[in-house]
Amino acid sequence: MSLISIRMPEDLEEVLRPVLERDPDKGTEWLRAGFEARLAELYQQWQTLRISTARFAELLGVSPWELADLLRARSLKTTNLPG
Amino acid sequence: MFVFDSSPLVASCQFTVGRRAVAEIALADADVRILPAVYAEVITRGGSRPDALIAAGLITAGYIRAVDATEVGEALEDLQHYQLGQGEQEALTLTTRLGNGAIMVTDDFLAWIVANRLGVSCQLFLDFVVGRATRGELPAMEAQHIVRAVSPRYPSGFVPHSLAMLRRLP
Repeated sequence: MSLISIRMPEDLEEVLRPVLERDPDKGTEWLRAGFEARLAELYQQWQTLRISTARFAELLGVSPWELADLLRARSLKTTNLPG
Repeated sequence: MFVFDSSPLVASCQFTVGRRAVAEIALADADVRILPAVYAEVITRGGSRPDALIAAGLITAGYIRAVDATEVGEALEDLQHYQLGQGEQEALTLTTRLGNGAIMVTDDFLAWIVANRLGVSCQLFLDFVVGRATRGELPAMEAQHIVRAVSPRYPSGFVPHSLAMLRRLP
């Protein structure tokens, strides 16, 4: 696992810093949970045609290649075609 | 002329027939164009991924022509009603402006519906392949190999239907 730095808004930092100081692994857990929740939310919007494939990738902040990888890795549909 | 968005390009570079990428076979000698946003999504953001390098190689080899932003113009006003990506918006805009001479190729169902509402000719990648075989631009057997290769991507029905159309070709 690699170590990365991310910007944190001040209001969140006040709440999160003490927790992270006690348990640094919580950050990994939050990051994963947040990403998976966002992916699931956008996947739902994509499957119901509220957003397109390219918009899905844009909103998730990944390339179309990465989006295809993410969906395949989770055994999700890789198109929004019906059926 | 065929205007591709990123969805068929990504798929056709990720599947292979033998040792060749589907795109290298399916797009050979077809007049395929991509827009600046699609170039950014697929080539620039793809970086050094092997599949993205295949897409980049198709441009270098002249299989795909990257269209200049000035040829696209401003995005169609009607598109603001939909949550489409930048590449899909540019592809729809250019195909609309080009009129009868251009066909958009997308595997995105929302973009496909919007294209139909705009009166733009639009095909799924499977139909692009079947169309090329129908016009004699691609051997039917090769087209069948391509359709089978990309089959994991499509919901049930699409692939057997495409294969049936290809089998009916003389």
